[in-house]
Amino acid sequence: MENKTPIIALVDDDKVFQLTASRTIKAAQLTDKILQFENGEDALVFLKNHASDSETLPDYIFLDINMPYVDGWMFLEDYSLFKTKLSKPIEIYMVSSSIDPRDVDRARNNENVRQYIIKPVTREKFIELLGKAAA
Amino acid sequence: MPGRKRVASGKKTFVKKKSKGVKTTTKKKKVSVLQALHESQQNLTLALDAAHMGIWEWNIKTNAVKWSDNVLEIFGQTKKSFDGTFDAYLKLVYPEDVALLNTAIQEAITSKNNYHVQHRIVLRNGAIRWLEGVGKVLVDKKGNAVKMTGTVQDITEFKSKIAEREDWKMRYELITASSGQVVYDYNIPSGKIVWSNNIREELGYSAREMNDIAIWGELVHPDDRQEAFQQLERAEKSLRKYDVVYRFKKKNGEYISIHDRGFFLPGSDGKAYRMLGTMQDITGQINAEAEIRQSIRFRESIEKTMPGELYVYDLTHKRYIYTNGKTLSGYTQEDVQRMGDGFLYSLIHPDDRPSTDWNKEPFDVIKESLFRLKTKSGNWIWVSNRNTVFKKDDAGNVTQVIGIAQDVTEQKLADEQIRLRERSYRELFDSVNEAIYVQNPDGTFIDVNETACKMYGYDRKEFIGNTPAFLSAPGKNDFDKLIYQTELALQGHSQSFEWWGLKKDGTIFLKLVQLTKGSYFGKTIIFATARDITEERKAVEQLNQSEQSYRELFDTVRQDIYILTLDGIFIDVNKGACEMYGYSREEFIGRSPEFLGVEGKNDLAHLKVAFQQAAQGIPQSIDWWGRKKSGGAFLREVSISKGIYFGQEVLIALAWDITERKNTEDILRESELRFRNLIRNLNIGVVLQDPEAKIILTNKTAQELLGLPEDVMMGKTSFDSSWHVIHEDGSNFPGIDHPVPRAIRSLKPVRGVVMGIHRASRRDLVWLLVNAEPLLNEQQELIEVICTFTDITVLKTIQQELRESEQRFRILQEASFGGIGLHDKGVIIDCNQGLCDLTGYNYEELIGRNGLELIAPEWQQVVIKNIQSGYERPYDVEGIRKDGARYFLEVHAKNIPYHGTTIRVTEFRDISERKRSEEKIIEQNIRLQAITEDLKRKNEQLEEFTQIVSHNLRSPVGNILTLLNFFEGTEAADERAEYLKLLKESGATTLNTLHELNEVLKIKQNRNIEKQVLSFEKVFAHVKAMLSAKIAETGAEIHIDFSQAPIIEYPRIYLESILLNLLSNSLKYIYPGRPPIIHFKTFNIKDHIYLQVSDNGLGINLERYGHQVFKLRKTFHRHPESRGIGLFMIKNQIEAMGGEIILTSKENEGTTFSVNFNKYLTDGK
Repeated sequence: MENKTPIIALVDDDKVFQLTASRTIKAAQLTDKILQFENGEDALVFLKNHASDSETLPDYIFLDINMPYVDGWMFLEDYSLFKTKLSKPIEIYMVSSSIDPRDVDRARNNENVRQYIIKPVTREKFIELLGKAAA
Repeated sequence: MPGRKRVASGKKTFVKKKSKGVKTTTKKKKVSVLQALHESQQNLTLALDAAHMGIWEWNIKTNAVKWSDNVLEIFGQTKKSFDGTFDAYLKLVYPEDVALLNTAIQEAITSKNNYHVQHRIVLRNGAIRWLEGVGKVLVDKKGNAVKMTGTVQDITEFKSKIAEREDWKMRYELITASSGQVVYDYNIPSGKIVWSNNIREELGYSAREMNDIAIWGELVHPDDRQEAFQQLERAEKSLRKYDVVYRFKKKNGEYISIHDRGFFLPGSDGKAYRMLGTMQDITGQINAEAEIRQSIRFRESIEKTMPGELYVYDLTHKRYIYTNGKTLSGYTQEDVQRMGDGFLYSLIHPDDRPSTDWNKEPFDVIKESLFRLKTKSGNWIWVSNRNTVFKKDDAGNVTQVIGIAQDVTEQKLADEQIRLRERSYRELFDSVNEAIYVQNPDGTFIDVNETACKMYGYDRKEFIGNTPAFLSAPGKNDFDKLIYQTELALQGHSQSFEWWGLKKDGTIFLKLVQLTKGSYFGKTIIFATARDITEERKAVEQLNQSEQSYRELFDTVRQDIYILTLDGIFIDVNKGACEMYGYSREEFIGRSPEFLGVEGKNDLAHLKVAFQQAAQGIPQSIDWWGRKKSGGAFLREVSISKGIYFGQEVLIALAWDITERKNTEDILRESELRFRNLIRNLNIGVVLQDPEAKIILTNKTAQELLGLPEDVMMGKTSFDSSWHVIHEDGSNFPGIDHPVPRAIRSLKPVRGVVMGIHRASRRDLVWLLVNAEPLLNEQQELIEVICTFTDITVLKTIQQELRESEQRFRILQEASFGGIGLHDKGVIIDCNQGLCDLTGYNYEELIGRNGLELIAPEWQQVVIKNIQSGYERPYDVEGIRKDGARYFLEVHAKNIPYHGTTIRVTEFRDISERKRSEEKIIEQNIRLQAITEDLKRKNEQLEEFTQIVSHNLRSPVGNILTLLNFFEGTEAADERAEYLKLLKESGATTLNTLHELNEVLKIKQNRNIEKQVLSFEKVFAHVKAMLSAKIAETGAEIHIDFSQAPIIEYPRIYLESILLNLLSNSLKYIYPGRPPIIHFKTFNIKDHIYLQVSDNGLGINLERYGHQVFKLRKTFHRHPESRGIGLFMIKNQIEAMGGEIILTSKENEGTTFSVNFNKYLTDGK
């Protein structure tokens, strides 16, 4: 993993976040392999289709809570059902503008969520998260 | 044949001629015929005179009677006194026979048959004679009776002979008739049966109807017939008694139980040729037995339904004589039986036993007591019982109580613990029976107990601080020795000595004192315990005296008493024994009894065995032929038993005279009168008493029933003071009122008198049903009285038991804690005081009342249903009191058999208190739930708002900040333009969200928005118009049905919003390729107005998305138009108006929204 640049997936319906986040990550030279999904369902379909393909599967997922159709929570539910079939481990960060403690607690109690991050996400935060994970 | 015809016609003419000839000759010869007639009449008269027979001719039409001359003599009349008319004749007839005579005459006239009658006439001197009239009826040509002619004869002598012959038969019939028995005389060879006259009365048949054994057999119940005949055959062959019970069909079709007893009389060939016997209806007795069985069953089932343990307790034997099977002690009934009397009492804690004791309390007292009971498992439980008196003895002491006991350990345990803790040293100290003195080493009293105080009569205070000096009888006690002994005791050697005490009242007594060293609240002290031994001393003296008095007693007894060693040697005899044999006491002592016997008459070996047996404690009885010193012999019955004589084990022998008894059987056998024999063997007691009420004959049954041998009864009268007779109610029954004296006085039968007779010989009481039939002669003079009686003791006992059983039931009912009623199909037939108290009615008002009236109307159906189905578990209903007040009631009923039908025992328990608190709890729960619901809803709404703020508002604002950073961080114009565009968009989104939030807040705050009466149809038409383009585009089919709830009072803009959003929602999420069909329907359920909107669209997976449906900006479909605002908005509107919206859906099939506009009515108003 050290030798490879990580693959990142951004799952968010917010176009602005998609844009700013990907630009920030690229600018920080953390990686340029960024997958973008505007809702949970699209992300799930992608993961299922590439479950055995470790070269394509993301290393990190930045997952928004509030999305139409399949939201962050529903994504996590489905994810936990098929994650063992995935050919490599994926770190999931929950990213939301919500400061509602219920959302924070819920994320913390979910075994698949590495950390809960409140928007907006700064460049330093991305470096910290991706760098720490890489180490 | 033709010739015969000719002969016949010739004959006819001859007859005619002949008859003419007769007519002519009659006139000519009339005189001589009359003459001849007269002569023959004279001859006849002579013959008639000799036979005491008169002749008569009675012209029915004229009523004139011609009599032969000798009738005057037969009638005992003169020509003057008897004018010969029919009426004069009737006047002579014995009044009671007139009807009989008239009947006989009428019958003869009607039937034109021969006339025969036997009747009595009264002579001028008052004597009564029997006449027999025989005659025939003469008819005219038309067949009408015109005359009667015949003879009359004095048959008095003949009659009296018959009467004598019939005497016993009559007696016997009277006896049997009076006891309801039908007598039969069965002639075996012919199969014919002759019955006593009372057959019609008892069985309904005439004697003629039943005159054949075959007819009798057919009337025996088919199930019993074979047995009846088999027994008959067997008895007939063996000439033994026939004694069978069978069911028998009466004339009215009813079956009764018959007790048939008969005896066979053998003919000359030794085989039975005749059978005599009686049939008795014992249905009543059998029914009574069935009734008692049923009553017991009834009582048991009642008692099983009662709470707790029910019992009848015998205080004398300290045991249950009855329980309902429930047991608090854990011992089964069998256990208790095995342990024997007093066992239950022994289970009661000794301290508590007095509370369960009874003395002479009156019958209606109910005593409650509380006691500890040791259970089988060894635990003590607290038992509360309610007892009441059930039986008393003659002295008025309570001997049996009846009651209910319940285990109250739980409630009592707490009390008991406190009591135990508080039980002090004092109580223990005082409860000791010995006097205890606690003294300082210097002798001064520190404390004394109750017994000590009582012993001296001083108060506790008077002891304390004093020395024992004031308790000493002056000059009687050695004080130096006392001090010395006290010192020894203090060194640990216990001392005991006698002490002469002086009571406060001056009495001097002797006591035994013991001194022991001890400690008392940490101090060294002397414990002195004392016992009054005055009584002991006295007792020893008395013992000496009693030995002397014994000797006197021993000698004054009339009976002869012998004291022997265990080997059979005389040690002592009393005066009676000396007198009996004529030997002195000294001559007895040291010898064995052989010298007293008649040689060869006594089995001396047996005597030895008897002595040995008696020495082992088995009492013996032997016959002993004794010989007096003077030589006379006598037979004695001697009983020998083991005893103690001045401390020595001895044999005690007592002797009685044996009176020879006459063998009554022998005398009876001599009697030749078979009816006399029958009477003797009859199971009815028969006593014949003369006009002075003196007994002249008794039968065996009478002797048995009265408990007296015949020779004792002979000559005894009803007035004899040795009879001890009582009425049914137990009062004295004086001889003058007995049936026989009453019959003697009235000359009329006295029947059905119940008498209780104490039989001295058996020391018991026999109950008799007594009849007395006076036997009168022609002159209505009393010859004797036949007194018959049957033993009804069993019946009385059964009746008594029945009464007790019912009384027991009643007492149980009264003692029961709740209200108990017995009803038959709703009608109350009995109840206890508890039910009166509960319902406010008195007993008389309740009996006969329909029990349903005690139940509130709306509950009556429930009760009826339970009565009909025989429901036996407790259930709750509402009751209604006499004053109309309502109360809650637990009803527990059970079906039980009762006097042949099934009735219901119902227990009522007032559970108002319980109900009230239950209701209060339920009410509070509901209120609490409502509050909780309301709070929950409000909380949810608040949470929703927080989520909206944190998700929908923070997000665009955060974006703006990020974009601004990006904007500032770049110089590239195209990038800047891009960020600026995004910034504008985010700003617009923020504004839009704020606007929407504001809308929601308005809804939430604006609960008092103006409502108006709206027509669903009109509002919907408006909404439909707004969406007409979309409807056309999709080709939607819309069905509406607002008929059930056409209008609603609601804010117009909300209703528009709701209908618009639901319709647009259905139009939006269409299943691809399926034209939408949408239904709008309103209806009412109770006060609530519902709107239901259903479509056949995409539907949603509720399990997955259900929680999000009504949230802001939530969509569940990849649909370009999903904005996620509409449902969120209408949910807020609906809830703000106190309603609720829910949905049901199936993916790919469709969705149904249900709006309850006013679910939480209070919220909307």
